[in-house]
Amino acid sequence: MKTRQVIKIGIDISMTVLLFILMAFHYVGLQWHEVTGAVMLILFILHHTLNGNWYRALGKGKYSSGRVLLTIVDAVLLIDMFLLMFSGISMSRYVFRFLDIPVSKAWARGMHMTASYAGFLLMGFHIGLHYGMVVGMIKKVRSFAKLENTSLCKTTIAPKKNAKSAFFTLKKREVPHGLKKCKPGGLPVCTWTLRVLAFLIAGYGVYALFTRKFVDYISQRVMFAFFDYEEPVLSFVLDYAAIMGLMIFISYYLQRFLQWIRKTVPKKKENIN
Amino acid sequence: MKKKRFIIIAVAVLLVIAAAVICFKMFGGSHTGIDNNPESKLSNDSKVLVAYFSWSGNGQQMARWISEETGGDLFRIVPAEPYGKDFDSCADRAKNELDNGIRPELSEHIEKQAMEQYNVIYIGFPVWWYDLPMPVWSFLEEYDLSGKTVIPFFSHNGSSNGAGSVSRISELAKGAKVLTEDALSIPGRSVSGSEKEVKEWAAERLKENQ
Repeated sequence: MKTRQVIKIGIDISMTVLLFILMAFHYVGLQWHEVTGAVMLILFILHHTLNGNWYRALGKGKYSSGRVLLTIVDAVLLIDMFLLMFSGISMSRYVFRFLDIPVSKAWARGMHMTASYAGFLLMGFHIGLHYGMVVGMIKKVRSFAKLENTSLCKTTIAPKKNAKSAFFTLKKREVPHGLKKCKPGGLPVCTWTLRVLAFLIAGYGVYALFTRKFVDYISQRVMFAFFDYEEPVLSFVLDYAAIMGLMIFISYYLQRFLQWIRKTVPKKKENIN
Repeated sequence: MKKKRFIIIAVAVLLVIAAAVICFKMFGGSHTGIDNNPESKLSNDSKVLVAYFSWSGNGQQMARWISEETGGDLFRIVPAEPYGKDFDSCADRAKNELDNGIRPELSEHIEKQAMEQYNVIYIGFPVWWYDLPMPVWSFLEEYDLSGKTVIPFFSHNGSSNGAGSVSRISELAKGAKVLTEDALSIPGRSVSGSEKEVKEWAAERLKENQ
């Protein structure tokens, strides 16, 4: 991988880690929350500089439904991030104290709460949609792990006696089964395990989404976020990770679904014609 | 890019934002401020003072219970300029005062001699912007509390450990013994049902600090 790629991924991973630290506001305290936010701002600028191509490509090329979805999510996320940063900076007492932004702090408080919980969900979508492509690449690379290449899918057959190949077929040969799971392109055990795991995480994520009151906070039905200082950090992080996992799961399979529609529907159109 | 696609995207983005705004309007919670009337029940023979600052009425409720339980004198910290009934304007003013270190003028005072008689001072307040509301700063800076025991009790909407408010009291009540570890913390929405808890807490603190 090129250095640029490595740096990009490094920044993306850092941003994700910082996101969790920002959400864990009560463990970290107001001052560190502000510092983390400031660092996030820097990474945000770097992320956009390195991914400038995305902006340039907006006017070009075909817009499949998947690309439309991606663009909408990214646009809403961008607006959310601006609101989040603006509201946060306007309330700042440490890092951005010198900037006296004449905006209602009551408004800023509510906006910051809404934008942070909505932003967390949107970020999950953002990761799922952009990194969905990476998952596809990984699947191709891992062909060596395919089931049909393992001994599970092969039988040994006796050497054939053949005038031409008398020499070469004295050894026993291993030949693929006719079984469906063992056909070339059949799914590796690895993938199925991962899929089940992803489904379980996503399922728990739905539960966590409710217990963590995301919808309440985003809609401001509940005005203040509840902080449980007694809760072990790990429990907090796992719940939030599951929620992010849910968002990634939904966006990834939504994208795959849209791709599938694109591939099957045109055939139907042809039949009509 | 085809114009049609661009329009679809722009409309979708606007719809998402509109949905969000509608959600706020429909669901937005609200709090309302109570009156700004003084409440001062001072006797000559009590060693206990229950001072409080309250905007929503929660702090006032807790203070009254504590006064009932301990027999302590009741004193409301009243800003000369009321914070009003509107939550948003109150929050804005509070943030501005905190950020600029503005101590609002109080309209109610305790005479110096009267203050000397108290050994134990319960001090009640809401947690505002992760800190102590500025009127309480004014109160603590007005009197000499050295040698006295100061016991904080507060309502909150998330900062269950008081955030910066309790340490702020330690900072401002110079020379006093501030019970930072035993402060009473009750979520705002739970105050109305917490009479028993508040009274038990107050009685225990008094016993320990007689």
